Order: sequence, then structure tokens, then C-alpha cells
Amino acid sequence: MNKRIKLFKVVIIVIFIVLIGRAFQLQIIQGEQYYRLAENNRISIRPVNAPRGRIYSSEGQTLVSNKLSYNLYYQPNELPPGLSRDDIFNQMARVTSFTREELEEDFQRGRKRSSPGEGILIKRNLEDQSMVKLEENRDILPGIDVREAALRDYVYDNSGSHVFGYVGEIGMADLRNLTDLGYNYSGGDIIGITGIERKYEEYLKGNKGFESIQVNHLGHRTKLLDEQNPEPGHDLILSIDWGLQQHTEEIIAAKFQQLQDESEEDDDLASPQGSSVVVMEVDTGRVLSMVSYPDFNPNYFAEGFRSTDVNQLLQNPLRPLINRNIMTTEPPGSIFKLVTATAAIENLGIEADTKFVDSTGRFNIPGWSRPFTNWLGYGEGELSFTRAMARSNNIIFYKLGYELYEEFGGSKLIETARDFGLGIKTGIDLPEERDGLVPDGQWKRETRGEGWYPGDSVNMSIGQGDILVTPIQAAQMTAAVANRGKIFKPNLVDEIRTAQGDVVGEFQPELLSQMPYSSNTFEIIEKGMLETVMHNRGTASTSFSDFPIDIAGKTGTAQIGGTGTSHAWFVAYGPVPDPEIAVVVFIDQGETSTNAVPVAADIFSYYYDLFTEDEEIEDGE
Amino acid sequence: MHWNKKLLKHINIYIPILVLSLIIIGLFVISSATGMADGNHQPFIRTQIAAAVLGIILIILLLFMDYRIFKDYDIIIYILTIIMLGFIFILGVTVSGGRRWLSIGPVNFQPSEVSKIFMILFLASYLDRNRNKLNSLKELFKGLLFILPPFILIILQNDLGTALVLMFIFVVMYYGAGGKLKHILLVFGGGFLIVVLIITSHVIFETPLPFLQQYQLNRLIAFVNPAIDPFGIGYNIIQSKIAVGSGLIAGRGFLSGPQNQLNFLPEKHTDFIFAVLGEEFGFIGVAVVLIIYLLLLLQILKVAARAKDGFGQLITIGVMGLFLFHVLENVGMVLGIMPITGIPLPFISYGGSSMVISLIAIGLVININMRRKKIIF
Repeated sequence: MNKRIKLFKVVIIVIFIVLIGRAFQLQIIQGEQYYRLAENNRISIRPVNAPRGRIYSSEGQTLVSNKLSYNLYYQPNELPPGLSRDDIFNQMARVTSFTREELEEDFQRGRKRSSPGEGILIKRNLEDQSMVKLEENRDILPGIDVREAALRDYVYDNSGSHVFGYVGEIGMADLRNLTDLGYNYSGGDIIGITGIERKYEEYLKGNKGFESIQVNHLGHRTKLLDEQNPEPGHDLILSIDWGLQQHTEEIIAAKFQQLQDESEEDDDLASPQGSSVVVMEVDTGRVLSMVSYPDFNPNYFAEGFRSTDVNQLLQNPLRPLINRNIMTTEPPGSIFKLVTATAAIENLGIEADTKFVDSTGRFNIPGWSRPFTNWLGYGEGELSFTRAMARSNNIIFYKLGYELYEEFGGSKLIETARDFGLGIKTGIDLPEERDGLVPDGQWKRETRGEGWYPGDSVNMSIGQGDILVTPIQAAQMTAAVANRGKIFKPNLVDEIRTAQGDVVGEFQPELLSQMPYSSNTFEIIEKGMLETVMHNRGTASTSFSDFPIDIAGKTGTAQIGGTGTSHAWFVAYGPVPDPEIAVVVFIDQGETSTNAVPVAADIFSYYYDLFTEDEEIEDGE
Repeated sequence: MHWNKKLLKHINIYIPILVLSLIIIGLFVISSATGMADGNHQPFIRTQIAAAVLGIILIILLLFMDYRIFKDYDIIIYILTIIMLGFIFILGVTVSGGRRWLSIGPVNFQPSEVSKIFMILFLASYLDRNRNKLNSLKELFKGLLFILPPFILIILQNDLGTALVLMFIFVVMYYGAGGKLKHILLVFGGGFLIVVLIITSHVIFETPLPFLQQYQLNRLIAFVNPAIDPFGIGYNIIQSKIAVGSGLIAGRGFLSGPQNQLNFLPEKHTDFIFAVLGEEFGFIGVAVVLIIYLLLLLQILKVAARAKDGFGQLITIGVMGLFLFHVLENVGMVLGIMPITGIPLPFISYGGSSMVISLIAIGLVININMRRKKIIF
């Protein structure tokens, strides 16, 4: 008997040695490791997003701000045992207007971009109705969390959309690249995608803070252990004159509508494809207004998940999302005559009153059979140089182009065009600006496999052929005539301020280059431009006939290769003799510059408050 | 009645002292596990103390009876056990997946708990009577025939843990009564192999699974690999190990264990109470409690060695087996070396039935100890 009791004793002692040994292993040998696991269980470090910097007009109006919104998160670790995601989502689909499929889709998308400790973002910017339903049913929706978030608020909806751009959820590629560069982004963060929002992302975004909180097994906060407040992003004060901006938007929309209506009535007229206006200070490069039409509502992007609205924008053939001022590159047509004139005056000894003869309305390069024609069907007879500009006579400019080619080879006109800043980005503080194109012999050999012909120079002299410019380049070029040869970098931001109001960055005019031409040259060109606008024979005179101030301008009707339609251009500055602003109006397939001119006239009259009574009537509306 | 004041002098004083210290430690740990920091612990503590007091009163009443009286009623006790366990399917109250409670008037109790004591008494009588025949394999199967009905009834109410306790008690008592170790190893080793085969075949070929519920199988799978589903079936094991391990040598301190206080621990005042102990009192606390259990079991063995008769000795061995299995399984589960089955830690886990039954079992041991043969010479 005692033998059996002894065996029991041995077994008991062995069992207890095993148990105590196991406790020793867990608590002493692996204790530190389990201690860390316990701390990870207990402590959740959650990022706190910084409020994005606001954007103001030059007069101080708030243009882009933030508003409180609510996001819906799913916390899988808060699910009580026995309940699955299916149960919760079915429950949620029953009590809210969300469908089960939609929630599953949101979940699958959200899972890819969730960051540790944050849960999975299911929906942004909940509507009040959904909020109420979720709040009422809180008890049957464990694992569902509604949290406050800042929503980007574009106060004036479509107004200024191309300047501001928009924000959206950071994309996978962006996230990888920016993280590699050492920036602190995580999945689901809001980031500037285009426009000022993108260009000044670094200033606007601010610095995230964090909260180290103690959580219980449901992931609910029980105690704040440590926190670091987020640093709000910097505010931007734009050079945009908001009154002017809104006025410009109105008139460009009206003009566009009018042209569209006309094209519908008349089959010979092309339907306009878009339009843009930029107003820039000639002595600084500050952009006072920048409009691209059709425009879009950036709030659609900020609110997220409104894919139908965004899809409509993406599918619209008029491409409302592109900022035509910097992203369309089109032949400049006759506005390029500013460049040709400069080259001719500087190199061929042309004066304001140098006489030219256009007897037939045709120009032939010696030895070539195909004639170059004017926009008029007949010859205009004898013209002074400035009159030739005002009449936008192609024949005279063909001759000048050909002479430049004969005397200096093809490069003279090309160099002058590049001196005016054409062919490279202006460097405006917006992303996605395009270079345009000033073709040369090398370019032609590489792309066409043939050399530079005299006809290329002749064509270029009136802004046709392969040359392409953006409207912002046209503005830079026009301002350079007004300021006698200074190429300024266009700029949209006047000031960068901290949220507390301390100025951290202030706009200084940036002179990119000073053209090596005499001021006499620009005075002659200005004379031609004044005649264009202020003389009753000028191509732009009708809209400016009653103007009390002098405006200098140049029209352009640029043929689009291979089609019968043309773009409408008008560039202008004023008032002469002390010009302050340059205006560029571009209408994609606007048929004739005559359609662009009144838009500029309206802008000048608004900006200089020329016809006060009319303004008051408008204000009284 | 064979009552005599002198009998009290024979009582082994260590057993009550060890049991009382476990109960007192238990009260502290339950306080912490049921939210003493928030003041929610009082009803639990009241119930636990009431159960302990009731148990102690029952012990005292039990002492007036000579334990040998149970020998005369062994068949009645057995039939009563089967009826009780059967009744539960008609009148039982469901608690978390198992039908384990029976209400008689204001008292709710778990028949499976009571059945442990009853089966110890029955088996002690049966094995003692057949002591001389136990060296044959046939007798082992005959004994199994008696233990299987309550075993199956308890499994049918999804209480695998208690069923295993019964089986363990049988093995221990059968060996204690003179059964051959070779037979025991043959039968139970073989049985274990068959169970493993059935489960493997279920997992791989999806053959039907007798007796086991899916959740019980999940517990077994999670025991083998808790990482399989850290928020589901593996959750308890992982959180329990974290709690114990993070206690280090001296523990986080009373009421200061985050795993406990922030509710990461499941069932922390009942089945997983040992994890709370480990977290808040560290290795020192764990070692002290385990040593108390060890001493208690050794003291019980000592009572068995000195019991007056074979019946008393077998009862004591049965009680030893009962506590040994509970401690091994419960502590082993918390430490992650045994699969999860919901059986409480004697004297420490919150629960009235468990407390009363454990105390009655101790009462039997004291009774036997008190009436041991006099060693005067």
C-alpha cells in the first residue's frame, strides 16, 4: 500500500515541479517579452492629424478652410467573441442606408490603407442622417467607431478651382515615394493632389501629433498617457484678387455659353472646347486672376467616395479638371507677332513707320510655288509697320520672317522666342505646367527626319507651324513687352503664415531674365499694339472704342493643323503709358480672336472700374 | 454516532490552515478580478464568503457522522448521481453553451460538481469491496462500466472538464485500490489513441465527431496553435500567457495588472483567476500558491496513508485525485501547457458550487483523519 502512496507522492511532486518550472519560464525567462506584449496590448498610439493650412485671397477672404466632419471606422479587435464582421455589417446595412455590398467594398479598400491602431476607415464624411442612425444603434454595433475629422472646405465651390486644385486620399505611389523621402505620411492621409494644394503641400499639411492612450480589451480609451499636439499647417495668402477672379469666371462662363449656343445654331461654327483667362501684374509676375473653364467643384474630391460626381468630371470631353492656363499647349497664331516684331526691329532695322506693301494678299518664297496667304482675301496695299501689326497683316510678317531667315538663318526668330520665355515652363507655383514647344532644326531632324526649311521660319513668323505655347507663357511674354524686356516668374502666393500669424515666407518678384533689347524696340511694338486696340482700324478696336484709358493688345486666331477651326487668342496690357496688368484670353476652338477680345475688355473695365454705373447695377443684383 | 471530544485532537491542523489560506488568497484575487478599483466586487465577495461559510458549516456537521455510514448507501448514492445528472436535461438552466445548473427552491447548483463527491464515495465503496479481484483486466472494464454513465451524461451537457475529472479520479482510485499500472496504461493509453484518431479523422476527412462540440474541438486546436486565430479561439490562451508572463518576479501589484484591470483577460474571476494572480503577484505569488496546494495534497496523502480502513483511504485518494486534476488542468491551462476546459481552481476561483463541494471533500478527509487508527504505542 505504501508503495502506491509513494508513487502518488512522486507524481504529485513531479507535476508541481513542472507547473512551477513553467511559471518560472513564462515569468522570469520570457517575462520581459510578455511584459512588452502586455504594454502593446494596453497602449495604443494614435496619430492626430494636423488641421491643414487655410488659403486666403489677397484681400483676406477665406477661400479654402476646414470643417468638422465624421468618419466611420471599423475596429476588428473590438468585436466581442462570437460576432463576425458579417454580423456587424449586416446589422449596419439594416439600420442605415448603406448597402451590404457597399460596406464590404469600402472595407476591402480601407483594409489596404489602414495604419496600425487606427482601425479601418469605412466611410468619410458621414451624413447627419447616417450619424443619427449609427448613434441610435450604437449598442448593437460593437467594433463600429465614429470619429471626428477635418474635411477640406472649398468655400466658393467651383470658384478658383484650378488655382486651389484639390485634396484627396494619398495614393499608394505617393505614399511610397514621400515616405522614402522621409515625409511622415500614412495610408488614408489627405494630401494635395493638384494645384496650390499640391505645390504647397509641404507648408499646408502641418505636422501630425500623437496620442498615447491606454485602451481596454474593446480598444476603448481608458486613460490618456501622453500626447503631442499636432502643429497646424501654414496658411497661404494668394495674389488672387477675389473680386476680379469671380467676375472673370462669370464673364468667361457667359462667353463660353454664348459660343456654344451659336455653334449649335450654325453648323459651320466649331463648338468651343474650353477657355482660360490669366491676369498678371506686369512688373511683378503676381497672378491676380486665373480662370480655366469648364471648372469643377473640388469639394467632390475632398468629400471622398463621391465617385459618381468624380467619374462625371473625368469622363467629360471638355476636361474640366485641367488648368488650361498651364496645361494646354497650342499654336499662338498672331500673338506671336510680338516676337517676330522684336526680332525684326532689333535685327532688320525696322521702325514704327517703315513702309510695307501687300499688293496681292499672297506671299511666295522665291522658288517655291505654294503661296502663304493672309486672313483677308485681298491685298491691303501700303502699310506702316505699326499698322501692319494693328491689321495683323500676315503678308508683311511672312516677309519679315523670310528676311530674318535669309540674313541670319533659321535661328534668329527661334532665339527671340526663347528670350521671351517660350518653350520652357514659366515656373509658376503650380504643378503639372507644360513646356510648350519652340521647334528648331535639331528638333525637326529628330522628330520629322528633315531639315529646317525657309517655310518653317515663314510659318513661325505668324505663330503657326509646330510652335506651341501655354496661356501663362503668353502672359509672361505680353508682360515683357509692357515692362520693356523683363521676364518675371508668375506667382500665385503672396505670403505664407503660421497658424499664429507669423510670416514665414513673403513673395518677392523673381526676375528670370532681362532681354537684351532696347526699350525703343518695345516702344515700337507697344505702338503697334495700341493701334490694334485703340485705333478704329485695329483688329481689337470694337470692344475698346469707348475706353477712357489706353490698352495695348494683340489678337491671334490660331489655325489648328488639319482642321478648319481655330483657337481664339487675345493678349493685352494697360493702361499705357503706365501699364499695371497683362491679360491673356484663350478660347479653345473659339473660331476667331473677335470672340476673345470682349472678355479682356470686360476685365479691364472691371479692374479699373471704368464704367461705374454699370458696376453699381451689377452689385445691386 | 461515534462522536467523542478526543477525536478532535486527531485532526491534522495543517489541512484547515492550508485551505483557509487558499480561500483568503482567493478572496483578494477575486476582489481584484471583479473590479475592486471600481467598487463592483462586493456581491462576488459576499457570495464567495457565504459559500465558504456554508461549506465550513457542512464540514462541521459532517464531522458528527462517521464516514463509514456512506458505505452502506453506495448503490443509492450511485443511482442518485445518475438521476441528478439526467434531470438536468429536463430542468436545467443553460449557461454559456452548457446545461449545468439545477434549481431547487432558491438554490442553484451544478449536479456535475456534486457528482464528483458522490462518485468518490461510490467508487471507494465499490473498489474496496472488490479489492482482491482488481488484478485482472476484466475488473478494470467492470469498473469503467460504472463510471461511463455519469461520464457520458456530463459530456452530453458539454462539460468535458468535469467528465475528465471523473475519469482521472477513477484511475487514481483504481490504482490506489490495487489495480495494475500496466492495465491502466494499456486501457487509457489505448483510449487516448482512439480519441486522437477520431479527432484527426474529423479534421482531415470531416467524419462526424461524437460527443465533442465544435467549440471544444476549437479549444484543442487553439491549444496546439494559439496563433491560428489570435482574436478568436486562440485569444484566451494568448492573453492568459501575456498576463502571467508580464507579472515577472514580484507582479504588477494588487489591483494594478493591466491585463486584468483592462479586461484583456477572459473569465478572469473564474477559470482564469490564476492568470490574475500571476499578473498581480508575479512568480512569488504563483510559487506560494502552488506550494500551498502541494503541501495540501501531500497532507491529504498522509491522511490516506494513515486511514483506519480501505474505504476511508480510497475516499482520501479520490479527493487527492480531484484536487490534483483541478490544479493541474486549471493552472496548466493558464500557463498554456494544457488545453482549455472550463474547470475552476479549488478554493480560489469564484463560484459557490465549487467552493462548497471542495470544502465537503476536505470535510471527508478531516473526518477520515479524525477517525484514524490510534497509534498509541
